[in-house]
Amino acid sequence: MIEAQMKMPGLERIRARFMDMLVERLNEIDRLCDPAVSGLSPRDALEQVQMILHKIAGTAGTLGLNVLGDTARTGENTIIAFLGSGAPPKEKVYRSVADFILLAEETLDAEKR
Amino acid sequence: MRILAVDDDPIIIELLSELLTTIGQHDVETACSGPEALKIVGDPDHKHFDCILLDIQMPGMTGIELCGKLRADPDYARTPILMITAMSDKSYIDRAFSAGATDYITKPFDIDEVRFRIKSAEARLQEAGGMTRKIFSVNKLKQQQPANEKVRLNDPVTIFDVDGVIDYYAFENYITQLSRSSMFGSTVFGIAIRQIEKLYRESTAFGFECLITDTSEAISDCLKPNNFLIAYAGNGTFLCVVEGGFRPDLEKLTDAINLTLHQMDLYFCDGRKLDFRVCAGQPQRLIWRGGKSAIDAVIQAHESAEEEAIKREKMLNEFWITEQAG
Repeated sequence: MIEAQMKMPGLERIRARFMDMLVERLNEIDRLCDPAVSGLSPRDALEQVQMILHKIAGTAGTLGLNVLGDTARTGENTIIAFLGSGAPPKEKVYRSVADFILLAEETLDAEKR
Repeated sequence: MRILAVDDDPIIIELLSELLTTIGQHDVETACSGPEALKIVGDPDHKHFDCILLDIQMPGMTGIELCGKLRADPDYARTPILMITAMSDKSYIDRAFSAGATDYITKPFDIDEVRFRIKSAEARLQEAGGMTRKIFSVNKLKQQQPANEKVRLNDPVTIFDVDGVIDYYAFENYITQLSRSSMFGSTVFGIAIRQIEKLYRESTAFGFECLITDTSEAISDCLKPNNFLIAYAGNGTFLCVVEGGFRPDLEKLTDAINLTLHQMDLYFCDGRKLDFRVCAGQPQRLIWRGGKSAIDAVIQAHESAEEEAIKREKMLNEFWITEQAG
């Protein structure tokens, strides 16, 4: 399926745009996760991080980046669970966001090579 | 088709534009928010759209709210509206269908899935102009606008403005698309109006419209506060899917619906009292049934309700014959 999709004209261009936006989105997540910089409460900041992860999870798979999409989805769901019920613990939430950031940086490095 | 795609993510917008022009050379316009989409559809310089794709989770106005607003516009009452969703929470999908969505596509997109869903929407558009051929609306009835053309008895009809009542084809899409695990704990059953052929013969177009919408309101009221969706399948039969492990006692439910209908104090257009009853068929559990198997359950529920209606009338006739003979 992915192979067929990657043959779609224009998909390489959209993937390149996605990578550009991924850099901006990672910077934004970094900013949001630092209360001193964002000026937001942890809860408000996490809500915005969740929105960013939601968008990435919704598109990465179509662009052939399934693992990145799945990791974003895991991060999103962990935040939703935390905001809804206070569980899992906050450390696990930030761990999940960090997992996504590390993978995204690896993906960007691999794309440059 | 002329398609309007609405999503706040520019990557999704680009993907959809590329996908839709590739798979069917569709004419695609895009909007990045609900208010922008409403501005476009309300602009007389824009040609009518044949199909609309809406993201569910958008800031400001969600796709579900936008869907409701589009359905309130007579120009878009029948247009296929496909929700684009990455929402794992089934309640979002349920609310989207309640707001008038006809189908949904999950993110991230599978190109074959998008192609299939768009082709289905296109086929429905060519066959019946989008949704079912005819739309009944409670709000329209309240304005006392008489219906001009009587629908055929067997035609499914879309009923608007009644909580939980959706288009029949949307109901089929809902049942077939939900994952088997999402169906866990769901039950489908049919509610049939007894003596529907006689009632149909004796009703005007407007009267029949009232009969169907009033019955749908009675069923909807009696199923609250549970999670449910209802569709009118034609021939006086309604299909209901109830969720969340709710197992309705159909005998009690039927009594409650009949009592509600009685209390509505309904009349034919010529002033005669309209006294009719409904009955329920055998419920079908949807445990771990998906796709065609789920549709088979819907068909069984439909047939069972109609058979029950015939059986009840036959029993009543036999009772009167015995009484007269005695």
